Amino acid sequence: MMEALDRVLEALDVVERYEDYLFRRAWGRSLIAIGTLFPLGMVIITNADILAYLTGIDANLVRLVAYAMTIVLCWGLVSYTFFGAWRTIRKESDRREGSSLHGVLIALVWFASFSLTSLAPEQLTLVSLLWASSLACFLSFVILRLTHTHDPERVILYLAVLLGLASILVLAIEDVTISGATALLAFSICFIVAGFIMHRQAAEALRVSR
Amino acid sequence: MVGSLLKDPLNLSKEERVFQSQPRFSIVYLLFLKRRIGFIQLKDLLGLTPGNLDHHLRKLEEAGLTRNRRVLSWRPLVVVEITQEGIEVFRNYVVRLKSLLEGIPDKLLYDK
Repeated sequence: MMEALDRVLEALDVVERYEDYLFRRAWGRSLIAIGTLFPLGMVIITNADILAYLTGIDANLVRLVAYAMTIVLCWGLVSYTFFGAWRTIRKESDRREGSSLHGVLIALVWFASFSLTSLAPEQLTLVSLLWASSLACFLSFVILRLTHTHDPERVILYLAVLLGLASILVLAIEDVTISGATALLAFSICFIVAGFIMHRQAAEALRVSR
Repeated sequence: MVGSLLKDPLNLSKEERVFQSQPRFSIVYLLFLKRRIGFIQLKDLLGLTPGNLDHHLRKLEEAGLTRNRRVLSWRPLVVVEITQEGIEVFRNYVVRLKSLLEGIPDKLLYDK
């Protein structure tokens, strides 16, 4: 009898670790996707005039296509990654009610934060990306903490702090071209490094802790 | 009769006896909840060697509870899935385990 109970408890631990793995892996992949695609899109948008001159296409069209592609690819990849993890996790019949609510809240927070960058003056457009992503990461951390759906994810909090600090560094640079390039580089490096750390944590969550 | 009930209070069927070992129980429990999982992830989760995990999976497959499927991705993957029979056998087992636990008088649990 007690053996059966022990077996159930051990199996529960296995399920918990697997869900933790799926959650961290989804975050890791999403951060790497954002850190790669978003700066690439921004590079194309800021250099639209050069591209238009080289290809003979209207510069506004180049900007519009690059903007649309960046948004679609980023949202598409992140949604696909999280949907895959959520689809696996929800198979459990008695899941908590808040398990899908936090995902919607985080998506809204990211959308609202990045929408606010359109209000920033032109010379601060690229720096505002750092502020938007810092705010989005911080609010994501708060949402995860409040909904108790997963352990508070410290990597997301550290990412928020790092992006905020990077924005101060970028503001200190007077040259607009260098500050723009530094902003994109900082954005990319912070997101990709955080993504790889999440991936490593996912692999650790999977490993048995005996 | 009483002796056999004490030894096997759940009166397990032949299929149910297969997941009496801890790794096999964890595999079936996880698959019951998630339906499928990759071989490598399962190996890491249970802390087993590939050969050891393969042995447990073969036992489960022979009992008709799970099946292995090769998936072509950017690298070849082996995915372990639970069968419909596996779902039913495990559900019946959980129901019986639950009723057996409910049968324990509270007095035994709380009285010192």
